[in-house]
Amino acid sequence: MVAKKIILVNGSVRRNKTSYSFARTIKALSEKRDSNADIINAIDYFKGKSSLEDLEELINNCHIIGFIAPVYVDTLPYPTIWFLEELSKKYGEELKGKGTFAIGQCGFPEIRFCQSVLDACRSFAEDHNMTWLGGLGYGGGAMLDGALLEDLGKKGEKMILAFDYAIDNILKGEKIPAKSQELLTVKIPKILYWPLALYLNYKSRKISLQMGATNIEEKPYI
Amino acid sequence: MDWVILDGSSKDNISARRVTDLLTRNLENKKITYNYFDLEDMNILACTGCGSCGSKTPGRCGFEDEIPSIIKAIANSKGIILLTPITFGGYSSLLKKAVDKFTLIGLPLYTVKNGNLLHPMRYGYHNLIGVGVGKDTTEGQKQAFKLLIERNALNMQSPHHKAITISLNNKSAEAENEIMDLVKEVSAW
Repeated sequence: MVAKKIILVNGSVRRNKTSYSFARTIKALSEKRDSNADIINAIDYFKGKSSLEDLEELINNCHIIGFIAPVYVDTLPYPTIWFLEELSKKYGEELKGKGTFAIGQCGFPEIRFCQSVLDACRSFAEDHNMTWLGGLGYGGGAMLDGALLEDLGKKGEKMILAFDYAIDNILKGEKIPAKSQELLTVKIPKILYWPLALYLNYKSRKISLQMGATNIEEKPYI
Repeated sequence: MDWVILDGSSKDNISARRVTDLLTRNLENKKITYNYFDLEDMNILACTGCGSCGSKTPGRCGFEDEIPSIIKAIANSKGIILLTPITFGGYSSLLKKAVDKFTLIGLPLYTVKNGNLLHPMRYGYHNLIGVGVGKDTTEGQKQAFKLLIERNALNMQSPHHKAITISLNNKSAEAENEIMDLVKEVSAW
């Protein structure tokens, strides 16, 4: 396999949480295959901590760009959309022909809520004649709270295996296999949604009280 | 006010602004009231995902910006109209800066409705309309836009929702008809 250069865009507004943890694993899996992966944080460009001009060499030399992002109100967070708009304006031509893939992770257990994140990245690829290599969704990303996958026991092993299958295909220029999504999908029976909701509500109320808020259901703007 | 309009197009996007004019004119003709927010002119800071609005200061963002005026308007409205150039099959960053703060209208609690795990809403339930404007928008991107509105409506448990996409290649009369049909439909909600 020919060594590839990959840019992994962490599309989270929080630099070291779950999206970063996923990016870090994908970087390690790529390097195991003698490819090179650089992780960049969209938020650093949004905040002006990094300059878009400095991306020129990285973009010109890369073969693949991967987007790893949380779901904010059903799609990519605002700073990540801004970053894509800027990439589009500045490097629209240079992106042509490169491979791209995406991983969305949402707080709810159902992966269908990641669909709009994947659609946005696929549309970005389409706008720039990039090769869409597929997308993956993970439900329950917030619960991981940035944990390293190797510290998550059996669950983490399954997730690493899912990314391993994915990166194997991505580096060959092939679509992410369905097996990756199967391994990443946490199947919570719908019958457990109510007990889960009650548990999460108890936790939310407890945290709020600890933080000094007396009424979690307050309506400050009425 | 009946509706809150969040305009995520920039002023130099003349075609998108034409759709804004068509929409507001048609609403006025039907005597439907609205609060219009030109997001390009507003200082709305990016959501940092700190969770403060859910736990520490329920319903309020920990950062000071102009979002309270929008949330106040939404809380007292029957629905929200999202106007945007279709950007990667979804919202422009201008619109998304406000939409990310919709967490303020949701409670950090959970409920189960029709088999979906959802957040109950802080200010009741609002209708949702998405008007996407695009040039050379592909069918896939139009579908993606509609799905995004559906997902927002599902999570907001909107009683009614609708998404329309208007092609900038459309003749003026076609765009006008689409907006007129939309306003006619929503006036019954």
